[in-house]
Amino acid sequence: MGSLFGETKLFTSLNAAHKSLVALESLPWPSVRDDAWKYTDLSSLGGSAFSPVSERDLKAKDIPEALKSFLSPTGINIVFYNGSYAGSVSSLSIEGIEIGLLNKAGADNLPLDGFLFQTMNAVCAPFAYVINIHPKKVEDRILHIVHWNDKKLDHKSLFPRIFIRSGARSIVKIVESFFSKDEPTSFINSMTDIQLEDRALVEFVQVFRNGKKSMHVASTRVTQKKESSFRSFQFLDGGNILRNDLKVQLNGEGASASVNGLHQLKGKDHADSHTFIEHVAPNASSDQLYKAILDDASHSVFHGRVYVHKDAQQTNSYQLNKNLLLSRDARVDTKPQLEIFADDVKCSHGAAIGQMDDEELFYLQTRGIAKDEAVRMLVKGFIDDVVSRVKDDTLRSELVKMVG
Amino acid sequence: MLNIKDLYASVEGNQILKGLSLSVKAGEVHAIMGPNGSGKSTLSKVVAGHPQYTVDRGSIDYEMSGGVKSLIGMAPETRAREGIFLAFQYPVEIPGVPTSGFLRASYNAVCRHHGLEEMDPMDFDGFVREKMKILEMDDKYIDRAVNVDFSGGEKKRNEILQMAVLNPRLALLDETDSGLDVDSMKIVAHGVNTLRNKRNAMIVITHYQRLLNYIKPDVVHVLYQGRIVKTAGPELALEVEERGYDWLIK
Repeated sequence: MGSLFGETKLFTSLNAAHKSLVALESLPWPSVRDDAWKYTDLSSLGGSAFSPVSERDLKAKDIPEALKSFLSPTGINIVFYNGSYAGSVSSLSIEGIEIGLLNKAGADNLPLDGFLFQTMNAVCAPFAYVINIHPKKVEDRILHIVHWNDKKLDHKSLFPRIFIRSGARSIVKIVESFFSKDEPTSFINSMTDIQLEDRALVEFVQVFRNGKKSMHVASTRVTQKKESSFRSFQFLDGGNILRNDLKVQLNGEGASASVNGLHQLKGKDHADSHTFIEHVAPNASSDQLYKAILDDASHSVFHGRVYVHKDAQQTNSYQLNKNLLLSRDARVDTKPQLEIFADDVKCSHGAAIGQMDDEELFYLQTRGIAKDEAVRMLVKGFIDDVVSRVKDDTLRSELVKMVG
Repeated sequence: MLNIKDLYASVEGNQILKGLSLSVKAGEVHAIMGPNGSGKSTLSKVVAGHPQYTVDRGSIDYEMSGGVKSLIGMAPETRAREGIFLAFQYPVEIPGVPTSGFLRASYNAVCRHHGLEEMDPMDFDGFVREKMKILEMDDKYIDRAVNVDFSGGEKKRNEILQMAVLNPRLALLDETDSGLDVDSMKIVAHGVNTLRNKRNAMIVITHYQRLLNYIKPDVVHVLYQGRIVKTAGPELALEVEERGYDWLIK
């Protein structure tokens, strides 16, 4: 028998501040015997104490210079410093976009769906942050949601909770970044919800860069209405444990989703992306490309699930996972999973794991390019191939800066 | 320029070349013909320095900037910078690496080796586009990833484009005609002939005499079981075309 959440040290440390967490104590704590957690061992997380950031901590007064210089001078910034909303460096009013904190009571009204970490987030999040994009709003600037942390987060936990609603025919580009300076030993449980109304277009980049001592369990849930278009890129830049669940529900006819990501791992980094694309409505399409590049003794996991409902006829769905191993000690586990209940669909999936291709290296060398430079070119090529899926030029160049 | 003596070479434990000797001078074009498995491609890989091929015996001497040197053990990139070029039978696809950046990295690596100034991106772009015209290549190739989604013929043209950019002293063309229709072959041959001069040399490896109608060799060799079994003038290629290889190997 596996243990229960209530028996973990993590529970005890959180429960001191969040008495209502008691409701979750009998939920099972994930073990590697659970299919969804087979390759991500959470025993070290369960065995660690991470006290929540206190009310006192939440009042961010002194914004570090390093945080200020991290912010985009041209974009719209919504900034959280060690979990607290940093109003002094955030953009206050943008025409056609409402931004606001939803207090705890609001968050409590949200449906809990039984997933431990998502429910934990709902209970422990001190507030939810809501971004409401009005119908037909077209915003050229990038909307940056910045979760910036530093050493003050050491041995503490964070529960960021973001809701984004993009109104009908609105067009926005959003970067949500989780960034920690000085490698705090921290636990982050984040939840990002994105709703796309009819014909909305959202290009969304998520960056996870919390340092090698961080443990981060991230959930992103996307729902799409008629003819909406969602394009995402998730950049997982290592961590002690980094688990990323992305669920996209294509509920409206003619919706399309392009869902992409890159794991860039070294040392003992562990990153695990679980994607779940649910085709509910007909005539919708989804396209996924996830890549991982691994050095040293790092470990990458990809589980890509595509579920096509009975009524989702004329679905097009493609999924590809490619992994490049730069070291003998690196490890990849990949599992594509297609479940199709409609009969008129086009679906495909594939996975590849390989080392640096000797023939590609030799080809470059025969053109005078030194081996180490050839390796760099091939690594860059491997990355650029997936980064190029970000169609917006400014968004892509933001991403390239972070990846490079 | 190139002097190979009594060369024995292996790949994955199989000895393919068994006592091959070949001497190529500046200004010459040598054709190497031979049935499948005779060692034609192995020869080109060994001269270019493929790491999976090992030289067991013999010598490969090449006249380079510092005088005549042995190629054995020399890194492939050093050989390339010293003017050895291999046009691949199966050009390699490199996803994510744009052709333009690749060509410039290649050209500048050779420049640096010889202490010459690198070409800036603007000048280089013009320089490449001139070369592309010779091969009747569409401008769009330059922005695409190296060989990715290129047809067989486009890949072969891309090889000769690289040759035109690097202007090698010794070019090995490994079955450059395979997979080409007649029109493409004429264009490729025209590209090669444009580059031909008194200071460089070429080794043209081919199954068929067809290509040699367009790239006229000075010397024709027949390779069989890892050795050269016959060397003659251009008429040998015609004779092989007519009679096959049997009369040479029995």
